[in-house]
Amino acid sequence: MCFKIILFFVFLTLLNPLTAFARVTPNDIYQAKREQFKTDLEKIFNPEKKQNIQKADKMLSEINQSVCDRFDMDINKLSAILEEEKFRQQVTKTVVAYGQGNTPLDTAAYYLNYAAEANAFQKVQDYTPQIANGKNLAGGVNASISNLKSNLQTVKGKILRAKTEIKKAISYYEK
Amino acid sequence: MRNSLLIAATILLILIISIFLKGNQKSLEKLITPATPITVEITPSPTQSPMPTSYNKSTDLKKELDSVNPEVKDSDFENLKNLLPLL
Repeated sequence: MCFKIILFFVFLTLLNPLTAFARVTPNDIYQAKREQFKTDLEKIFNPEKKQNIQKADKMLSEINQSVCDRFDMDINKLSAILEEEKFRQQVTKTVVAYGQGNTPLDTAAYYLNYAAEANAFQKVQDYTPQIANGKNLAGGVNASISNLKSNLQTVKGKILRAKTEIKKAISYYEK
Repeated sequence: MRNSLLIAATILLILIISIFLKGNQKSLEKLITPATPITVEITPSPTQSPMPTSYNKSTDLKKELDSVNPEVKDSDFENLKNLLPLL
C-alpha cells in the first residue's frame, strides 16, 4: 500500500509543471511579434496607412540587411589585413578563445571574431514595429528605428575595437 | 506512524527533485546559449565580395586599415523617415 502511494506521488512529479522542459525560443518570440503585427494591421481601416506601415516594416528589415552587408565588407577587409600580418610574422595558427592567447595577434583575432559574430547576430534581428492595435503607427516605427540605430552603432563599435586591436598588433610587429 | 513518516519523506523528496530539476533546466539553458564567443572560423559569405588579394609584402597595412571606416549613415534611414509623416 505504501509503495503504491509512493508510486502515485512519483507519477505526480512527472505531471508537475515545475519540471516542464518546454523553452521559449527566439523564434517563438519572433512568431508572436509577427502575429501581433498582423492582428494590429487588421485594425487599420485607412488602406493608405496600412500600406505605408507594411512598407515601413519591410524597410526596417532592408536597412538592417544593407548596413550589415556593409559591415561584412569591413570585417572581410580587416580579416585579410590580419591574415597578411600573420603571414608576414609566419604565424600559422591563432587561438581565438579569450584568455588562452597571449600575443597581440591572438587578441586582434579574438576581437575580430567577436565583431563578426556580433554582425551575424545583428543580421537576424527583428524590428517589427509595435503599433498597438493600429493606433500608434509613427510611434511604433520611430521606436523600431531608434532600436535599430542603437544596435547597429553597437556593432560598429565592435568593428572599430577589432580595427584598434589589429592596428596595435601591426604596430607591435612592424616597429 | 511509520507510514505517515514515509509519505512525508516521499513528498519532501519529490519537492527537492522538482526544485533541482528546475534549477538544472536554467543551468542547461545557460550552457546551450553561451554569452561569450569561443572559437569560430571567419570565412566570407559567397554572396559577399571576395577578400582583397592584392596584399603583398610591400603593402602598407596601416594605410589599408585606415580605409576601414564602418558607419551607420543618416542616408540609410532617409526613405524610412520620409514615410513617417504619412503614417
